[in-house]
Amino acid sequence: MNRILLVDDEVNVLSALTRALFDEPYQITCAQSGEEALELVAATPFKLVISDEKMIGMQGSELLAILKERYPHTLRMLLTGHATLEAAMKAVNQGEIYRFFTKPWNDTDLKFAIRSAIERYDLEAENRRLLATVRNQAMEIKVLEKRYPGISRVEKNPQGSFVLPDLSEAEIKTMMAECEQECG
Amino acid sequence: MHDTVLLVDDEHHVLTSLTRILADELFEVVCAGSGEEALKLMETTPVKVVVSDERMVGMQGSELLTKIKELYPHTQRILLTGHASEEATMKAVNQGEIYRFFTKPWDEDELKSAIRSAIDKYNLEWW
Repeated sequence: MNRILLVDDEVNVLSALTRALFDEPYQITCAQSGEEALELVAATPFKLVISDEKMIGMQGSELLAILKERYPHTLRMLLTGHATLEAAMKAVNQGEIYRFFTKPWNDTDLKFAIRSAIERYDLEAENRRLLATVRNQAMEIKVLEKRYPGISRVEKNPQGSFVLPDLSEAEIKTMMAECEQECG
Repeated sequence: MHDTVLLVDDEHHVLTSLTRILADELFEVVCAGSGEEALKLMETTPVKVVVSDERMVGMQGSELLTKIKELYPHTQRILLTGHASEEATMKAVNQGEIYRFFTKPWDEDELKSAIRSAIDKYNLEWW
């Protein structure tokens, strides 16, 4: 599910954005303040948060900096009418924003940036998944090697042929079960 | 590969004072007086972090960082500028995907720590 959170204290901006993204394959949620956004993000994971800068209460750059710290995988964009240099610096340096847009926005540019943010999120999520798999497999091999020294290495005889140990199906099954148990 | 940092500014005294500040750091510092010179230098020298000014004669910093992002996506990019228009900032973020953004006069400690963390990011991602 491609969940996107829009944050702006002006309801008409939220409706215009929602309308602009109507045809896109996203599930859109809106928040009218940084505080509300933080509550929503704590309850549901989002792939992307797009926030206005100047709002009553928490500023957008501050919200994005908090999100970066607490939910580093969620991508962040600033969409603002007036951004001071300080706000832009904070959004880049502490919020590590993926994109920065000014109002009035160009629908096509914004849609393109959102698509690319979702792609980036998915790619990074896939990388994390693969890394976890690789680590898990390395762990399994380590456990197997400890129990059956030499099992993770392939031996060759002087003629250059591979020497495979004689193991029955049952023995292999027992080893796999032991391994799975130890690796959790 | 060395930890090499490239500084780009068309004002010589800025390059001198930045180099002096970074003299005690563990990374190697090289300088370029323009975007064109920076790109030429990068053809032969692998660079982990580029710190560029925005307003320069010839190529602008945001344009340079965008080119570097395309040609050497692993190199981390930092904009250090006296005057950045909203347009330049947008370009540096959206097309140059800068890692950090600083204004002149800079805070020494912040700049040093940003460069160090940019080198760490490079090493973590590509080594």
